Amino acid sequence: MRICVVLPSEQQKAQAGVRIRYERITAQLQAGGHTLELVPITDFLVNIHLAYDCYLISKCYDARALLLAAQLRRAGKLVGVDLFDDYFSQADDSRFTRLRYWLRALLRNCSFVLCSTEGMRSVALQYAPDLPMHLMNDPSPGDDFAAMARALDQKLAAVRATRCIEVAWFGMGDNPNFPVGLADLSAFGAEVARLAGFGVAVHLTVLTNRRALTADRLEQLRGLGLPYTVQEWSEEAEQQLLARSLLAFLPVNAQQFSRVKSLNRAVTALSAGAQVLSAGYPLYAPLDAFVYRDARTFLADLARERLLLRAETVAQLQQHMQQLASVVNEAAGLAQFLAQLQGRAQGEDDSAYAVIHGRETTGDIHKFAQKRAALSVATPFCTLELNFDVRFAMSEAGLEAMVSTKKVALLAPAVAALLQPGKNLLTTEYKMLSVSRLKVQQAPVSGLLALNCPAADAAAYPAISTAIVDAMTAMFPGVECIFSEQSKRTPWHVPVPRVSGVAA
Amino acid sequence: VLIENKSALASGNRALRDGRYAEAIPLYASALLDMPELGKTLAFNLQWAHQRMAAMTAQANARCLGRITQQELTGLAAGSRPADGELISSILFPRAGHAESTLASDHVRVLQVIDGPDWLMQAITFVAGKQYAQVELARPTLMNFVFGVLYKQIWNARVVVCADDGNGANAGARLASIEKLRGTAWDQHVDGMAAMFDPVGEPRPARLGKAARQLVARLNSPLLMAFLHEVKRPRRDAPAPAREVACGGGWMPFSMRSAPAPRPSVFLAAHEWQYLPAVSLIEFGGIPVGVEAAIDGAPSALPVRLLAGLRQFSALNGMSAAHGLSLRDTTGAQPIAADMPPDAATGEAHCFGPSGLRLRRAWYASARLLRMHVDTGAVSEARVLRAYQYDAGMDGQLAMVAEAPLGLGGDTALDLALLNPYLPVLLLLSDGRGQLLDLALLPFPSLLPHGLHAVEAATLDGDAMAAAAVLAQRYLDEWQQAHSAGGAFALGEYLVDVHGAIGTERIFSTDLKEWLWTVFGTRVKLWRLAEKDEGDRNFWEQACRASHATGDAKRYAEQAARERAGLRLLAPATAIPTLRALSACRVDGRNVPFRRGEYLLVTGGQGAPRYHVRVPDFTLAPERALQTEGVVRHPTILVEKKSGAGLQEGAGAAVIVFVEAGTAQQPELIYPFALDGPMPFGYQAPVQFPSVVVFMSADWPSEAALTASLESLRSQSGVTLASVNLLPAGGADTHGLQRVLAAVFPDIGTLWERTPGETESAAVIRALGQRPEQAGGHVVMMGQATLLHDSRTLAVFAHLLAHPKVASVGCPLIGRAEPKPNAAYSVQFSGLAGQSQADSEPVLAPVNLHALFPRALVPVACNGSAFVMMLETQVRRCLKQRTAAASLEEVVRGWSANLSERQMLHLQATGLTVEALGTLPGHVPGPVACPANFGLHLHLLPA
Repeated sequence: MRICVVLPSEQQKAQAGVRIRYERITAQLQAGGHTLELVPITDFLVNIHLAYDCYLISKCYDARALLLAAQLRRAGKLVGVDLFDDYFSQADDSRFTRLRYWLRALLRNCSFVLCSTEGMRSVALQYAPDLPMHLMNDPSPGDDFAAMARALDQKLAAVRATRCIEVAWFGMGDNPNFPVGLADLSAFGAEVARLAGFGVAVHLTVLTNRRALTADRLEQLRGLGLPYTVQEWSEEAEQQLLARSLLAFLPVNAQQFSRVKSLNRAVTALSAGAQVLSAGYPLYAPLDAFVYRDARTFLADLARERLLLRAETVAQLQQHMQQLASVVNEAAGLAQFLAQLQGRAQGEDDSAYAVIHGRETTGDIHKFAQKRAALSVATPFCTLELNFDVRFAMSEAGLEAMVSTKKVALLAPAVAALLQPGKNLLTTEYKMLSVSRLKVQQAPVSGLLALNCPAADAAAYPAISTAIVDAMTAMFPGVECIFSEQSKRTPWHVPVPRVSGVAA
Repeated sequence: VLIENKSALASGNRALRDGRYAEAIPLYASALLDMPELGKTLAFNLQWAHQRMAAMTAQANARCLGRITQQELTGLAAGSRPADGELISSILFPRAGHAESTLASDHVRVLQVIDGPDWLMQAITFVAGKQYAQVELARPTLMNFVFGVLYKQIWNARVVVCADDGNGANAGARLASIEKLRGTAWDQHVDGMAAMFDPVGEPRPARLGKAARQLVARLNSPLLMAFLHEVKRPRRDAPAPAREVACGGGWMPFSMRSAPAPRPSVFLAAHEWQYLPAVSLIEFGGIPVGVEAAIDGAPSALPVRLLAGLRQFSALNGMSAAHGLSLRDTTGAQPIAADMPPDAATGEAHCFGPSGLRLRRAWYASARLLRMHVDTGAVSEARVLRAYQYDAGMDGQLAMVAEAPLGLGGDTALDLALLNPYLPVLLLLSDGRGQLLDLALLPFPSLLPHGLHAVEAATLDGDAMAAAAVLAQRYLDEWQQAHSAGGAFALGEYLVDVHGAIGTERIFSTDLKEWLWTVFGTRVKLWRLAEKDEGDRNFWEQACRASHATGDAKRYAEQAARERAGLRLLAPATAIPTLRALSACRVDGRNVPFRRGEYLLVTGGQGAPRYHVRVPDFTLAPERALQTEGVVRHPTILVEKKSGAGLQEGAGAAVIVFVEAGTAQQPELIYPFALDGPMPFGYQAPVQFPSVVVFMSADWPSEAALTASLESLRSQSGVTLASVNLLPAGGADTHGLQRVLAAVFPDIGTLWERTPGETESAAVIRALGQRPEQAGGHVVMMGQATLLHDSRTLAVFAHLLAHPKVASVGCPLIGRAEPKPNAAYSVQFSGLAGQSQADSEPVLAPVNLHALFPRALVPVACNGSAFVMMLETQVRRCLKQRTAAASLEEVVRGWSANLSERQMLHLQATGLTVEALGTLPGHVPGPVACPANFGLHLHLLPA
């Protein structure tokens, strides 16, 4: 089977998540006669890429993925989505309206869902209870357990000699939406601080992304009350840090976003021969036999020189890794799951698509839509100046549509007869159409839009979006509308058609 | 004797040469005590032995009896490892911006933050203690300028101020910051300070952003634009710093380092006592805390004050009998147990005794670092101060958290690396040899400035240190009374509502839970979980449990008894109990010193406002409301279990609620993140699709604004708009308004022209008179041009108004605050709460309730008329009595006074907002007294 992982950009290939989740299993899949390739979604601008059997959408959180998935499904391809970050279960948080819409719309064209954890699977089940799902754990970085045993002895010897415990905290220090990373470190840092003073000193090294090091977070770190060093994260730096650290501190808070994270950080730390101390939510419970939950137990074990991860227990860890993070098992499991789905996807006649651009959209999405033969449609909220195929604007009489002369042929004949002469915008020639002539219900919102302020737009958005979908359906029979709205600040609502097996 | 001592000296020398430093130290020490004529030589040798021994880290730590930390005043991380540079940040400007750090990826950095109430003193101390040849100041803030001047003056360092971030992206904002600074009262100071910095050099114009170049041209000031985000290593040949600086008309030493008070040349560290010959070690808590010269002496011969203090400390920590006071012969003889006199007087909090030492200042420099200044007074001999905490979690052991020789006359700074920031601290004073002289007890150190209970001290007048001492003594006495009565504390159970919690809240910290159990025998218990959270029960129960709760059967029995008999305090997870609530003794017939709905509110970081909040009981049955609502909005005290009696009247805050800032930008919080779901409320609204009449008496800035407002009304869901009434002021273009109204509401819109001299309220009455009174109808007063961006606004209001004690409902009004660069919206008005400062009478004051109570329902004393919903029957009654009033604002406020007599409330729903169009309403003119117990009352606490 040929698997294509669709990424948002070429740069994404260098991200740790991609490296861990896909690259680690690539060779193993090849050994089984399969291929896995990473393809940026921008490649689909110029290539059809229909040679693959299966397409896995990964982190492409915009309308391009929705359009691509719809077209691939109709082409008879297996389409799935890989879910490993929970931006979908916070139903009372309107910042994620766009992502909840994205997932609902995407799942309409998916044949399966791939999840990184059981928690993530629970989230996915709320959206698609009937779709086949597979849990693929993040594979571990390596399996040189002999080297691990040596490293463990060396680290213990170093502590004996220096009476200093090197503690590592590594990872993304921030998230634009949730208090995670350094916030967790600050909140649970007392667990590390309490290691000091009983015959050993403690030094903490924080390895994180530069963006996270704001004045506020540095202030929080200052409150830890123990010596620490901050360094910028890199893969190499992480390896070096874990190689010299006796202990990796992995606090986890209990918000939903954090609860569904993978075991990746603990697996990485243990694989590097570091003990793991975790505080807060028991995310790493599957590795309980090797994870300390409180500093005092660790200290007591250190004094006895019987730490949870030691040369004698490496074999046991190896068994755990086989179950939870084995490259071989995870690759085989994925291949087997996909093989079972083969043949289920059936092609259909291609449909017409329209990408509706809201307040925050991008030129890339517009370009992608047109290259993929979809209509690119501007709402009155859209501020981009591009050669849209259809533009909606608000007038005193309600919504007015401008239809590119190149797309007039796609209009329903009855609607085409209503067209009026239009004007040229940029390099596109338009015909005019009053939406009121389509018998589409419109609430009065012209006054709101005229104010041109976010509050007024928020009040008008649902009414206008609904009217535009109705108008597009009347103008282009059978068209499927896909919304491109990236705004986190507008609590927007748009209709999402229901399909069998997909929760609304 | 002389020969023996000479021999001790020779033996010491031999041991030193052989690398047996541990043996050399006591030999030298012994010789020193008896051969003062060789003091200089012996002191040198002893110091040498100390240094060599410290170098052998493993050996030194192996003998460590506890924490031996005398961290440098300025160097939390200093000495742990060399650093290439330091990043200096200031929490005095924590919200100054969220710009990225200038940390370079190829440099190891150590962070230092200046904190504390005396930041200038700390800054001076920091600079004096950290010698650098070049200093880069990452932001052009005033604090950084002060740093720059200090580095220039003290170390003659090269000081550069970075006004560009290298890629020019944030240059504009930073330059604006400078401009702003220069436009304030500080401009003269800044100009003066800037003149001291290095002249412009190496400007690298190619990398200088356009805005930065313009700034240089405009300022014409010698600020160096630097782009090298690095700090050089300390310059070794720098001149020694000045030792004193002018301050407040006198001279102040820079720091311990730069101008140390003379120190005793010799003292024995605690871990060296065991090498002393012919002494007995005084053991307490399982470790030696001093020495006794006579081997046959008894601990009970110690001064009574010492014994009492140790006894008090032992009781507070629940120390086991095995850890009582005892003597141990260093030759290895069996320990001699010593009884502490049971009738010893209670120790005094925060006070030393006859030694004359005075705890001048103390504050938390970080979560676990307690920094203190001790006034040594007239001490003229070697004195050593040691600090201890008892760690119940490690099977019980006393641990030394600080050890420092005191200066001879003057101040001594001391850093305590606490095991637990809440647990009692014992300060023991001894002579250089270890003989105990005096003692002080900090029973509740978290009362000290920057501690988590410091806000309690802020409720008292006067100096924070003095207030902390007063409260510590008061709570200690109360604690002692309850303890003596077998754990008769007033508080029986502390219940936590984990709704919305994420586990990082303070109440779940191991430190806090262990302290609660150790000192008060109280545990944190989980309140009921929502059905959807039942799967997390194990996790939350674990989060509430103290992982190392220890204690004997008696303690558990006492805890069980108090849970049966005591009060139950129910609080959100963002709260921690006050010491007042924890230490209160339960005495039958006496009022408990805290009450339902009264708490302390701490917002943001240091320097942010803190409030003493009193919320009225606005629900008829709080327990039932809690059951219905499922969420604890305000801390509450439930009825006593045993007696079933209600809570008696009292006063005092039972918990401290922390409002965390910074999880999201403020504009994001208030707009447009309206809740997707319904606002929880403990009362089920009986009315579906309630009927609403709207009166719009605002001055509309334009017809466009009116049109938008009307359209937003029309888009409201969940209500039935019965009529929309425009009441324009005299002189308005009524034709234009009529046209707009008819366009949006052709059927139910009516314009009411006012007759000459007719007031707003009279016009409303006239309008209401034209239609039959509708039972259960709702009236919306829009005295301000507003726009409803959420289609559920009126439905939520009507739902809240269904409560029998709620007379009116409002919500925060927000407005665009242009041209602020980073805040598109700001809260302008949010209802009137009773607010007071110091001892003044409470007045109605506009408070940003949204920042204080995010997504909550807040009963306030009065709502303005900008946007408020009331019951139609109430409006009719109210307006009939007050038609002579000039404005709706006055009507509403007058009405509120009337409502207070009837114990009715106005409710602010801070989970919703409406946007003000046009001119934002100003503050209410003049203070208006309101009954203190009516509506939300906020007492602003001193910083």
